[in-house]
Amino acid sequence: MQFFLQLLPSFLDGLSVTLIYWIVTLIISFLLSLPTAYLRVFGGALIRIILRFYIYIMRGTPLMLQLMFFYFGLPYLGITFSRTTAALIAFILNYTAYFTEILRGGIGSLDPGQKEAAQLLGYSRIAAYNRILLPQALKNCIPSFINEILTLLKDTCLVSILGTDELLRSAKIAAGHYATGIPFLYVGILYLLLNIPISKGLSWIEKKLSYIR
Amino acid sequence: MSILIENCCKTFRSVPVLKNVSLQIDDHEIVVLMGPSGCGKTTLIRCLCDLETPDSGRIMIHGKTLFDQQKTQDKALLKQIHQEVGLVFQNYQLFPHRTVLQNLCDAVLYQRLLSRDEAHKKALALLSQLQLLEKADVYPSELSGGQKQRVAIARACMLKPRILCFDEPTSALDQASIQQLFPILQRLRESMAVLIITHDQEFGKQIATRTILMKEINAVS
Repeated sequence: MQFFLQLLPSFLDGLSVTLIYWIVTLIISFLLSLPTAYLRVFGGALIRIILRFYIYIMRGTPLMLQLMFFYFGLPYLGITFSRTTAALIAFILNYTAYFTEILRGGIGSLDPGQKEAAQLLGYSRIAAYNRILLPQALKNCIPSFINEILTLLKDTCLVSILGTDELLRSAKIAAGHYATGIPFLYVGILYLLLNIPISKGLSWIEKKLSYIR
Repeated sequence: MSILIENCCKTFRSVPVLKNVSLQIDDHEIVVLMGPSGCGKTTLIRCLCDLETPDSGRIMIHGKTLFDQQKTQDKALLKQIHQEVGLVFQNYQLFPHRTVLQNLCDAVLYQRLLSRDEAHKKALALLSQLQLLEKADVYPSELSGGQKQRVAIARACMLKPRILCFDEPTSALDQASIQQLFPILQRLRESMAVLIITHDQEFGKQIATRTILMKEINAVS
């Protein structure tokens, strides 16, 4: 316990970095995925092709490679980002692609009659999406979102490749300093503890929305 | 005259479904359209509601052109015509995330046809007529099939259509709910034309002021 308390300040520093990447990526990616999912389903042919290509690239290459591309690769093209900005751009682009596909699936699972009913009631296409299709699709997508949100939390440790001191890296430094693997155990427990409120909270929301069926 | 359909044709992947269909429906009529599965009944109703576009022919709703192969339609006019035609879907298509009252009021509020108070008042009056007043604040998942259908009728009536179409209204109802439907349809007839497509011959004969067999008007059938 004493050893844990000794390491706690550096863990908290690492945890704050992890949480910032996690929350910022989560919020921006989710917000971006709302219009991109709309365009993926209802957009013109060219827009859909562009989005399919973007999603193909983001899902088809490792996130670590994308992080390296934005931080180490772009400077060769004369574009330089700070470590944090490069990491956030990579995370946001990657997770927007996944969230878009999840939402697209959610919209696709709805009865096509819902869209037709909205159309008959005079809703524009965008209003039908925002008011009728999206709320139902979001509810259907909660289990997939839980998965992605928890994966994102674990993926944040990849920023250590850019030299950022996030939670796992703080354990690595401590392990090297004290020549013991115990800090990794502590960090593993911290990740698990973080999972609990996230999955419980989202499951609670899913339960609250069970009337939508 | 409510509806005039002239020489309507519709083909899906080179399979003709409607071939030179012509039909006329007057105000205050209850027209029942019957015929075997796949004979084009639903396609015809979907063309009337502008959910499908015919390949050729002409559809007039109260003297306004909904579809004419010869002419391109003005969007504003089309929107106006859409409001004159209501549809009660076979599986009702209520919005499951909205309460009954919200299902009724949302569209008129979105289109700014009524104020919130007026919309609520009108919706509650309709629900009262359909004996659903106590269900105003529940979600569709808590309703029976018959109740869902009445909510769907009320929702369509909120937009004051002049023609209300029903797609297989008895297919998911028990006998008691079907009996409840008769007076509702008779009351609707007082203010609009009603077009029903059904397989249920007994129901069709009882409710119709005119029965049409699809094969009589569709060369494909």
